[in-house]
Amino acid sequence: MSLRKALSDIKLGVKNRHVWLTFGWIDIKLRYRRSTIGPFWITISIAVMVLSLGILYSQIFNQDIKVYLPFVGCGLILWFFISGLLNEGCTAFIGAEGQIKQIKQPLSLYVLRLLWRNIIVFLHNFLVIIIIVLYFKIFHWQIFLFIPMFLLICALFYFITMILGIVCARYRDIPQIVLTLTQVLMFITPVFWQKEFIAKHTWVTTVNPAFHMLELLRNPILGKEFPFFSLYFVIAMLFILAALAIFLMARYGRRISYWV
Amino acid sequence: MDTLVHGENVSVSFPVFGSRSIKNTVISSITGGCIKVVDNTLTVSALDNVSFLFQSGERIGLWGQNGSGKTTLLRLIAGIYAPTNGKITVNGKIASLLNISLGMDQEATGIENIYLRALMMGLTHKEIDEKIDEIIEYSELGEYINFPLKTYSTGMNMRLAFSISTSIAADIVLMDEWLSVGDVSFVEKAKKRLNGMLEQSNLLVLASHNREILESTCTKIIKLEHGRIVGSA
Repeated sequence: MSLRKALSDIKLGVKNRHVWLTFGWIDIKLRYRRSTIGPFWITISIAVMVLSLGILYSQIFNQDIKVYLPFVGCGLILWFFISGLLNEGCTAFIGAEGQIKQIKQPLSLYVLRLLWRNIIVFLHNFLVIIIIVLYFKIFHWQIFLFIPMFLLICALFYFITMILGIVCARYRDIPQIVLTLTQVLMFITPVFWQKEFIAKHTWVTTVNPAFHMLELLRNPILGKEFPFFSLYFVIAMLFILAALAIFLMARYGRRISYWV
Repeated sequence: MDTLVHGENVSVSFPVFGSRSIKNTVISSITGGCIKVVDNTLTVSALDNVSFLFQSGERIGLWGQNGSGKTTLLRLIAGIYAPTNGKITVNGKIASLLNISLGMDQEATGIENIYLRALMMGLTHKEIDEKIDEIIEYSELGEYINFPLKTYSTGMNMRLAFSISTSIAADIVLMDEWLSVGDVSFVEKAKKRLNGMLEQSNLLVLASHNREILESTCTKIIKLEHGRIVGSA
């Protein structure tokens, strides 16, 4: 695949959005078929988790629950979105083998399908965030900044998924490596603890890309100070990863049907 | 006559599983190359330097044993595999009927599956809406169309897949071993439908190991053996 073909693949994926929009929905729908409340089980299970962890950890860390529960609740929900995409991203092409080998469709279509499926799950979880914001009365106009920041993160994950999808199709050990690293990443990223806890070792968060993604999404919801540094960090990542993704597509796109 | 498919010295070869793992690469780099991967090009050849020219109006039959490269050649024409060597040019819209389970989901109903498969094959929602009644009628599934696919028999499954796939207009139709399954009455019906579909299309490439089917449908038969074209008639 040449650069021109890689770019046209990306364009065609956007053009064929009716395909991945439908398939993304169907993936979710089928997962919860015959269950009475369907995908809202996603919402309920996260709500239970947020509530129990919020109560427990506010005790352990000796924090005010009114501050801590919104913090850990938003953190967890956003974290599941980020880590879910990292892990599932590895299967973007491996998982679509059945289709890739039977029909010619742009490869980026499978990336978008996966991304869309995860966004749908996130939107179900977002209900819990809305409840938190209303219940704890932390509504602030800054919350609307969340929307553009979320779109930015989605764009970033479009390229991350593309890269992971290609690399994992070729090297089957990578998905396991990613899985292991994501687990570690959860503990070194301030999901449960606030970054002020490690005031002496701020570099742990400064160099952590997951922290910047989380911060960029979480701060607007909680009405905290807008993290400009994280914004620049994410934008820089977006450009670098986009270039890498397009390079990999141009170089190896034509080999993917051989690898899956 | 227009040339629709032109392959020039095309080869397709697959990398072997062993060389796929990152382990070998890592091991060979830390052992300073003591344990070597036998070149990175350890491969299995599926198509070996084949050339062909299919023109409009032709009905091509690909004949050969299992593993002779029939399906690979179809996938090559469909654009699924890019040739490892050589060059292939394809002009025209392709309908590839390679697999009956494409896009289909066992948990979804017949109607949902019509949308899924047709979307995968390149139709839009609007086009499917226009065709759906005809697809349902042709599939002869009756009430079953509202039931999940897992309640279908193999034959019903195939009828549904067939009636979706053949409702798509294309210049080039690629088919893989379809008519060898299904009962006699359906095969007869399917043949009629196929002929109707082929009247609108310009080129059919049909792969089968059954010579009789090919002889009754095709204008030209290409024999494949171990990834090589060994004869045509």
